[in-house]
Order: sequence, then C-alpha cells, then structure tokens
Amino acid sequence: MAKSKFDISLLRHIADLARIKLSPTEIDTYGRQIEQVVDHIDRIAKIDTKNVDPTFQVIDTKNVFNQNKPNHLPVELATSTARSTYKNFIVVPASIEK
Amino acid sequence: MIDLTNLTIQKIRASLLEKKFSATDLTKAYLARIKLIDPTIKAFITVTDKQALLQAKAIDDKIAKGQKLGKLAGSCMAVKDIYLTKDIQTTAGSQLLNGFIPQYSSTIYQKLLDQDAIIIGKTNTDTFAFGASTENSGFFTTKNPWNAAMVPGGSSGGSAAAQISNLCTFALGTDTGGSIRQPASFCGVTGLKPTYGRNSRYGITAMASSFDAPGAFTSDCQDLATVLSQTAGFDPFDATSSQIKVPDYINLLDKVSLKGLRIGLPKQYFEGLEPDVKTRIQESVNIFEKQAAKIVPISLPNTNLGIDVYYVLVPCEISANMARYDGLRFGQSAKYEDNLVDLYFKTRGKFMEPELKRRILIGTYFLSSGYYDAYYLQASRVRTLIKQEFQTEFAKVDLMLAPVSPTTAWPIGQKVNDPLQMYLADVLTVPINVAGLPALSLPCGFDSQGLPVGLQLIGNYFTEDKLLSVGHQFQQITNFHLKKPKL
Repeated sequence: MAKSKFDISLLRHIADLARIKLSPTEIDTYGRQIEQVVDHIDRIAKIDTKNVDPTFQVIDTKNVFNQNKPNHLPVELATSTARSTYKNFIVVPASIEK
Repeated sequence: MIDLTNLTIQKIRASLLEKKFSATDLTKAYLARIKLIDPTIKAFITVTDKQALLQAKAIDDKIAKGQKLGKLAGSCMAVKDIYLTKDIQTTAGSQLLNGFIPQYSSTIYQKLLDQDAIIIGKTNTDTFAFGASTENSGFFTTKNPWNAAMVPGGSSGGSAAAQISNLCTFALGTDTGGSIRQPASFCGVTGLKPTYGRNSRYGITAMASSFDAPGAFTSDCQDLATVLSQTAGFDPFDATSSQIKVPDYINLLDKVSLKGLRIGLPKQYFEGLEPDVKTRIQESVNIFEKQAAKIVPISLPNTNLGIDVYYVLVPCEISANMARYDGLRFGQSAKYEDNLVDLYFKTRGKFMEPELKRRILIGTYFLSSGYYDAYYLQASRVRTLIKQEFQTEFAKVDLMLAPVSPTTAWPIGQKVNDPLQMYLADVLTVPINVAGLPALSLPCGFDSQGLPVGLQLIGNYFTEDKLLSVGHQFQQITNFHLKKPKL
C-alpha cells in the first residue's frame, strides 16, 4: 500500500475518527508535532520484511480458556461508576434520531 | 534511634516480630516524612493516610494475637496511580479520571495487600503512563529528589522519586517502553521490568496491551526478589499472564556465579552517550570483569528501529484502548448532550491531556484505512526481526549490559514541547519492550552534576532469577544503591 504524506488537513479527518474535538490551536500544534513524528518513523518502510511473519504477541502464549460463567463484578457494582443509570442499565443520550 | 523510613522489607518484618517497633509507628514515620518532603518533591497524587493507619493497626492486632504475618508485613508501598485500588481514587495521572473510585483492585496490588503490605499513597505519572518525565501528568510535575530543577524520569516518576526519598518501603510502577527503568536510573533506585506476562496486567489502566509490564522499585535486589516472588504468576483475569512456574527468587539470589558469566555489550547501546554516562557504565563493566566475568562484544543492528516500531505499535494499541473513555461508564463527562456522538467529542476534547490526544491521533492515523499495512503491519514484522536479533545474541551470552538512558535527568521544561525529542530519549529502553524481555535497572554512580546514572542488565525470557542474582552480587560489592539525596 503506497503511503500518502501526513498533513494538517488529514488531522481533521483523524480527529473525527478518534472522536476528539480539537480547537484550531490544537490542530495547528498537534499537526506540526505529529508530522515530525511520522516523518521520522517513515524510515521503517525501507526495511525488507519479505517472508517475515508479524509478531502480535511476544511470549508465544497458546489459547487460554476460562469457564463460560460470570465470575466478576455484580451488575449493580459494575454500573455504579456510570454518570447515569436506570434499573442497572447505563443511560446514554440518543444515538439514533428521535 | 533507627530511621524507620530507611529499612528493607525483610528487616521491617523481622523487627515487627521482635517488637522493636509497631506497624503503626512505622506508618506514622512514613506519613510524617511525606508531610515534610512531598510538598517539594510532589511524588504523590493521593496520600492514603487513613487506610494506611487502619491497615497498620490490623497488622499490629495480628502480632498481638500471635497470628501468622504476611511476607511483606508492615512494608509501606507507594502505588503508581494507574493501578486500580478499590475504594481509593485512581486518576491514571489524567483529569479524565479525576475523582474516579474503582470498584475493584488490580491483581498484583491485591496480592501484596494479602501479604500485609500497607498502601501509603498513589503516585504521580504521566497521563495514562504516556511520557518519560511526569511532565505529561494532568496534575503536576514531580521533581527529581537529587535536583528539584530536573525531571525524575517517567512515566513512573512519582514512584521512583518516592522510593529514593524514603517516602515508602517499595513502590509499584509499570514499564511499557522504559517507564520503570528510566525513572529508576534518573532517581538512583533499583527497578525491574519483568518479562511480558510475568506479572498480571489485570486492573491496571491499559496503555499498550502487548507491551505493558508491571513491576517494582525497591532499595535493593533482595527486596525486588521479595516483591516479585509475591506478584508473579498466572492470573485467570489476564489471559496473557504466563503459566510458567515462578522460581524462588529469594533463595536463588546467590545462584549465579559471576566467574565466567558471559556478559554481552551491544555496541549500538554505547553510541551517542553523555561522556559521564559512558564512563560510569565502563566502570561497572570493569567491576564485573574484576569478578572474572567474561565480557563479550555483541551487535544488535536493529536497535535504532526499536523506536520506530514502538512509536507505531504503541499509539495503535493506545488508540484502541482509549476508546473506552466515552464519558458514560466511568470518569469525567462533558455536560449532557442530546446526541451521543457529541458527548464523545466533547468529553474527550475537554478532559484528555495533550499527550493523550497526540498518541490517540497518531495511532488512529496508522490504523486508518490505507495506512494499516504500511505502518502497523510493517512495524509488526520489524518487531519479529528485533526479537530474532536478541535471540541470536542470547546464544552467545548469559545476559547483556547497557546504559538505561544516553543521558542523566534533563531540566524540567527542556523537552516538553518537543514530543519527538521526548520519544527519542527512550532509544535504549524500548527495544527490550518490543521484544518483551526482562531488564533490571541498577544505580551505578553519578555524573559531574551529582545526578544518578543507571545501568540495565537485560535477560532472556523469564530469567528474572538470573538478573536479580547478578544484580544482588553487584550490590554486595558496590554501594551506589545506598546513596540518598539530601532532602
């Protein structure tokens, strides 16, 4: 996959994907800082990794299974830190149009 | 009169049993010292005086009744504020979790409580452990106890500063890219980043799930062995914790003979060092050589790529892990909105610190459509190369020795507005996390400004027993770990 260069216009799109509201000053500052970081990291593309498998997990753990039964927090406790609850459910603003 | 705040874990337990002092006396001594010193050092976000005194009393009651005492009885622990501590505020160094009181505790903290350790407070950290100086904390910057104008290192800077200042018996930290070893080095304390999976990650706010390694700061290797003996082991709540048997670290402390021990010096770790750091490390090498260890020059050519792999993969994992901070289930929340998506945007925009936003944005970019293969997948392949390179060299040596950091502590403010420079400071610690290996940070002297220098011993997977044994013997013939700042 060919890469296109990171720039400030792309940052607005990324911030939308990440669900973070940024001020114009933040867009300018983070845009410049992230561009520098990405430019530095770009050298990784030059490394020949043909026939190299990716590593996602370092200690070669095999599948780990648990019994399929709840063994942790009761619902009342699990929801106790939520900002708003109703009968052990977490109340959220509407996510679809009314 | 003995100084109660300058005792080791084993000495404290023995003294309690001999009734030389009580757990309450000890706890009060630490609390008094915190009151005196911490306004300057700023190691703690929360001091848990009430809980500490209650726990101390419970231990004293046990002693009075002749009941069995835990292995860490009376030792006061400072806990990095990313460990969930039931009923005690856990902020992760972020305004996002200001006021958050967890309903349960992290596994390894609970294991230490079960051994009668006492929690003395929650320590400052860069926000969600993202940083190398504590300057990214959403609360304040911790000062280096050797020189208050300098950073203590990070992200577990509060824990390292508390440890060297005798504000606790031992401290807990986490090391995702050097966050135990580098502050241990900058503050002059002993710290261990265990093999990935040796200690459970359960109940610790996640940064990068395939890198995060919880561990401890102590005054010496013997105390580290005592703490690790209790914290290590499989945890059903963390499927990535290892089922490999936990060795008897304490009884193995004298196991490894320095005579004939093959110590590898990776040449890339000796490039671009401050002259004083280079000299102190060379002096340590000479100490091992005097003990008839065999010094073997080795090469890890992909060392510099460690930073690149790390700063691709870690932000990717961060951007996924941080999705949980939605303002609904826990933590701070923006004023209620009509629309769910607006609530996400406003909560995250308002309460996340700059470094938190930066890393989420970088990770989201690398994972976004069209960039995934070029960055995430490519970095995961280079991760394999780095891992293989370590394995090739470990066929020739028993362990590796290197500086923890190319520099000693830098002035507060010097790198805070230059994230790239801050990231590059991790060059000698991140490759170890990329590979998931264990590494022990040991004090090995001071630079011309009187700031501590640290060396790291890097081991193969699950050889913490070997590292602690070699570190212990180094500390038997040197006294760098006993030096304390004047406070």
